[in-house]
Amino acid sequence: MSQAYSFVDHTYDVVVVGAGGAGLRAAVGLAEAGLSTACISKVFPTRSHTVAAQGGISAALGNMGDDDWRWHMYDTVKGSDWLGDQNAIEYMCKEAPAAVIELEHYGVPFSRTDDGRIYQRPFGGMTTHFGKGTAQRTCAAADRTGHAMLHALYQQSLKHEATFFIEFFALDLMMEDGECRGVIALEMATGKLHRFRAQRTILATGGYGRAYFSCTSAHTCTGDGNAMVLRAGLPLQDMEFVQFHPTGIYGAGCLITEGVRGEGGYLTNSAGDRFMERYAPNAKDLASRDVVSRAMTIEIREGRGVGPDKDHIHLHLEHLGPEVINERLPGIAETARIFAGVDVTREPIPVLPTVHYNMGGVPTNVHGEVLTLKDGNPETAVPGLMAIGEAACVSVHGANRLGSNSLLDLVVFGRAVARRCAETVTAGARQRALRADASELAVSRLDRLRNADGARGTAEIRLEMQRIMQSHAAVFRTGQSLQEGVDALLKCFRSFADVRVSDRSLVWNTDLMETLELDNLLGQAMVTITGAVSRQESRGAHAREDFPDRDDQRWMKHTLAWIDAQGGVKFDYRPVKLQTLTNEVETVAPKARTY
Amino acid sequence: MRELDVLLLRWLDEDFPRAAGAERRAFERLLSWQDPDIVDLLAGRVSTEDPGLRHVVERLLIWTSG
Repeated sequence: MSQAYSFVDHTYDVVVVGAGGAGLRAAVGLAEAGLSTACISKVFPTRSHTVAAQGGISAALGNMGDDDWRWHMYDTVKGSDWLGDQNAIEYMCKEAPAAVIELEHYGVPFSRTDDGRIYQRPFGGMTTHFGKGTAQRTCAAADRTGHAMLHALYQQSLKHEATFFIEFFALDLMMEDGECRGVIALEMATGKLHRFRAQRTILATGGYGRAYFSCTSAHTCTGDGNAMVLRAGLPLQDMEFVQFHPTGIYGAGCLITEGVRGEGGYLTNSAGDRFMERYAPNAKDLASRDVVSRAMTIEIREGRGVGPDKDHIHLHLEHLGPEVINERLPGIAETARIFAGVDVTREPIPVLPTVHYNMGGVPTNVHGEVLTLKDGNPETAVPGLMAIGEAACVSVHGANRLGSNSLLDLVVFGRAVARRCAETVTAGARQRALRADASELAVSRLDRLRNADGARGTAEIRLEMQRIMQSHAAVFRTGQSLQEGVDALLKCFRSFADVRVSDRSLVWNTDLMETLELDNLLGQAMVTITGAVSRQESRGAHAREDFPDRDDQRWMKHTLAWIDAQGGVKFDYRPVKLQTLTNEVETVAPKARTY
Repeated sequence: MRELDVLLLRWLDEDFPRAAGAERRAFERLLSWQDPDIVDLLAGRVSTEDPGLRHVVERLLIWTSG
């Protein structure tokens, strides 16, 4: 099949797939270290989904009061419901202040206090003194933190002469005997296929929110890197953990940042009760996202939702006054007006828990090296392959991510992966020729889908998948509903063999791109919902009504999931790392998680 | 970003194929803006002197509210 297509061949020391916050931070470090670096992205870098991150980035700078990275670590471990690896969490929280200061030096215009230091706001789950006080730990560039980061990092990448391949769609990894030799991508504007041979391939391809019907993710969030890993016969980790953000705008799905509650916004039910006081007496509306999402869902299910159908909740800002809203939350008023039709100075915003983040992804160690289970060893590194950001599962978020820890994850592990490459990759080292069949997987798949002439349209299959995931793998889950979802999704998965693509060209073929993305989403949806059936406990974002308690005895372990071409999913497990990285901090011992 | 998917795609699907050349060029000028700036323009937080852009924004908002 490969002979029917011609290739443009490239050789770099490192190729980064994805140009969001993680990919760009890696590209800066790699290029700065003198490694020839290619960064390929299906969208322009400053249009990556990181652009939507408004709330901020956490770091125990202590600008607004006492703070300590150990408290940040405690909060993150607790937020993860003890599924996060404590060595990785220690690394992230300890590196956070330096990583944020570095961003400032790169040009991110952080909001300031009156005395010129970086302003920090409270965020859900962030405390001082190991849960006793409320931390002000989240740094923001007004409501454009993600956008500002992308700009600063893209400019730094260009300064250090990373080479960008923009509007290139990554198709598949080139694997040889278990080693990653690079990646194949389609240049969307010309239809040319490009082979990127590299000593290291770094996946920074983000999450797969589009597997669900209602999500805060852009259309681009299809987890392309995760899917490439699955097709390479490698596992994904903890995919059953999907975060629902408490405050997606009812109907539109657009996000109202947690910063709103950080600045004093609160939730009410149909009786006007501030119900979070009952569910989280201390943290109230600033409890962890999974806790708030579940509380909202219970209120709605017990008939206390608002609106004609009592199917959503109110978020109030009216009491803050226009000055605070305009100064601290400048975009919120307009977002609410356009997408919900409300004036936030006079009335509440209708909100609903909405799919927002994937805690699961490609398993890695703290250096970003991709891991798999081989000969009983779950720490086996896959030569040549690395992953960072939402695509990866390192695992710092465990069963539930805290708000503002995502941007931190991007920059800390973007740095870490670049450092690792600087240590282990020889600039300009000669790379052996690719095998003749290196392109086969990517090209045969591309050719099959480009010529697909079945009975089902891409949009039809995608909608069916999204509705199944929304109905059966939601905030609350039961074994029966999940199993029904698995059965339905398996049929949907297999119906993809009957997909129809109407445009046969390779140039700006959006029908083909959406079909390739759907293929990617289907595999991830299968391992997500099947993993949710398999995990018989409740932990973090995974809330089983038939197994309401956390079960550390049986389930304090990471799920590894493989999928075959027929949609069959196989599981194995990795232990959670309770041991910290150094003796600077003690293990946070498991206990009940209350806020 | 999701906001722009919601704001732009319906117009792009329904109206763009019938749009005149000037309107298409104005839309392309709009796409040269940064994502949050497009949101600001559509939200009325910033304005533009470009009459073609103003027209496209009006069209986009009709589709959004519709």
